[in-house]
Amino acid sequence: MSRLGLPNLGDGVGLRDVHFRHLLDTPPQAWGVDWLEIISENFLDDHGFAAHVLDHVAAHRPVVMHGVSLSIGSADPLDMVYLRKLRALAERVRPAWISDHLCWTGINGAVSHDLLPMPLTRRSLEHVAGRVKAVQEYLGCPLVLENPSTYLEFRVSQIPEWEFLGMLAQDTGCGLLLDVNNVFVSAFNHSFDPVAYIEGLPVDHIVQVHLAGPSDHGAYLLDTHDQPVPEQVWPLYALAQQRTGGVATLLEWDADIPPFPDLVAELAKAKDIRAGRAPHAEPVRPAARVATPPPHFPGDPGL
Amino acid sequence: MSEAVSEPDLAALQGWMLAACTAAGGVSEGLRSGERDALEVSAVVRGSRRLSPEDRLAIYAKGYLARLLGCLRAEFPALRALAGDQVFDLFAQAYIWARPPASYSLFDLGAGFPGFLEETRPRPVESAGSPDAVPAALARLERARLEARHAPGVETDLAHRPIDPVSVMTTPDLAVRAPESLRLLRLDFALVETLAVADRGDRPAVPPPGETYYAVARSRYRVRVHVLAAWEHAFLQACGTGGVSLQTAAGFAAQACELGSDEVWAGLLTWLPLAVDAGMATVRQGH
Repeated sequence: MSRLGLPNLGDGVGLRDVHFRHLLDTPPQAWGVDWLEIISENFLDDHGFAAHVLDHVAAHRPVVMHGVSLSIGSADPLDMVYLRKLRALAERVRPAWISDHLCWTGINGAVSHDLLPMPLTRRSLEHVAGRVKAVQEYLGCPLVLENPSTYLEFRVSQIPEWEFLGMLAQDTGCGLLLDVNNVFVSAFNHSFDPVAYIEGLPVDHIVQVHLAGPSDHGAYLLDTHDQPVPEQVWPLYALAQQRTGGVATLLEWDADIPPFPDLVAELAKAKDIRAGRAPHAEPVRPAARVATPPPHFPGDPGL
Repeated sequence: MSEAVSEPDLAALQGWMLAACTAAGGVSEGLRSGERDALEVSAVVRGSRRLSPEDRLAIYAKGYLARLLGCLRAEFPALRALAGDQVFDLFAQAYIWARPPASYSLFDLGAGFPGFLEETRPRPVESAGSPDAVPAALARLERARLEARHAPGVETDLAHRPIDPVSVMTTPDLAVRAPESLRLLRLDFALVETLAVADRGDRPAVPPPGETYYAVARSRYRVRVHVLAAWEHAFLQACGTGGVSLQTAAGFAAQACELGSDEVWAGLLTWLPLAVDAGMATVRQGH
């Protein structure tokens, strides 16, 4: 099934420098992944070994450009230097699509290098929609936006995040990158129902799913991408795949990164779950939803 | 979801949050400072039984500092090994708070760190080679290594070819230029051993003072630090990325170092082929 004209790329992992040598030394047919996702910013200004590896990878597999600095929700003007470089990289790499996050990263010229949460209001929806349209026009392709992990909500927020994303997608035609780990993290941190979140998104705009492992800080979960996907996330993944009928899956791992074959082994769980081979990963049924509290780690005191 | 809260201007809200999360001293300092008085944290951020509004902001503040510290640690491993984790983090934290990032790229974060270390030396007026100047010098060399890794280099330059000593002497119109990946430095310390020890994962000793000329160059995607003679350094400086004739660069080197022209040409005969192989220069026929 194709959404917004974008294909289901299959199962992929993030391209990280610790795996560069492995990817150069291993025949592409033995990589064990269908596609790779890059962090765009790691390649915008790199003309060395990383660029060499990227060209090699892009010659053998589809690549998606995933950014962290677009700052689509910021009140600052769009950073045209950044966008120009993003477009130039896209012209070189020919990515399957370009994605970033529903967030802002800085204001007044200062940059946090973090994915900061938006106030979810009608006004900010209008603001973000205008910028998404401008970026799509500049890049000449649909932008795909990911739901971030968040640790705070603004009191002024009026719209659940999934509805905000849904309205944004309907208004702008942008795609959605559903990070089921982020849904899990934010659902825990803000006590909402992750199933309602996934069921509330417009399914025809979801073009990709992210998987990752967060860390447990007791009172909150932190999106660290430094461990296997927790078992509570797999049912959410199964639900997302069931609802979409199958979209590209990407495993993110950014700290304490294991060897490439171990990443591929973790990614293989996604295939098993889609094939119904993991008993704990049955899709969460709407009927069971009311009785299902937000997922949490053992010992969590609750809100 | 709505709690009938009046909606602040988006720029004001974002400015408030960023200032609170990035202030020197953390969130409590950020919230205390005057410009944040206009917005009260509990009126802006939803709290819960598990986490107060301040706790929630603090998650972002901790993440901000940890992320940037992590980048500086990764970019300056030798300085970290020399100074020790605690002292390095003090340097790095002071830098982050004094010069918060303003670029979309974390690659730019460490660009000002060597200069910051120089400006904040305890005894900046002491003579060259004083021990408190070591961190800035080492940071400059490490930053040069990173820049050499990222810049366009000779690997994709179709004009970059080896040159043999005979050609250096017999080709009349050779032009020479420095690749963008080349970094040239003159530092007051002998730092090659410091880098080598740190690269092995050991703690280096304080390096001895001594004016040293360096070229940081990349070839076959490997970055190496080379110690140069003064005339070699002057020769590469004269080349620039635009390129000059070999005659011009050699003449500049001889003049700058008060050497005879024959002496420089004799040196070039053996050194230039090695420099080209190491990615310090590209030579081609025709100006």
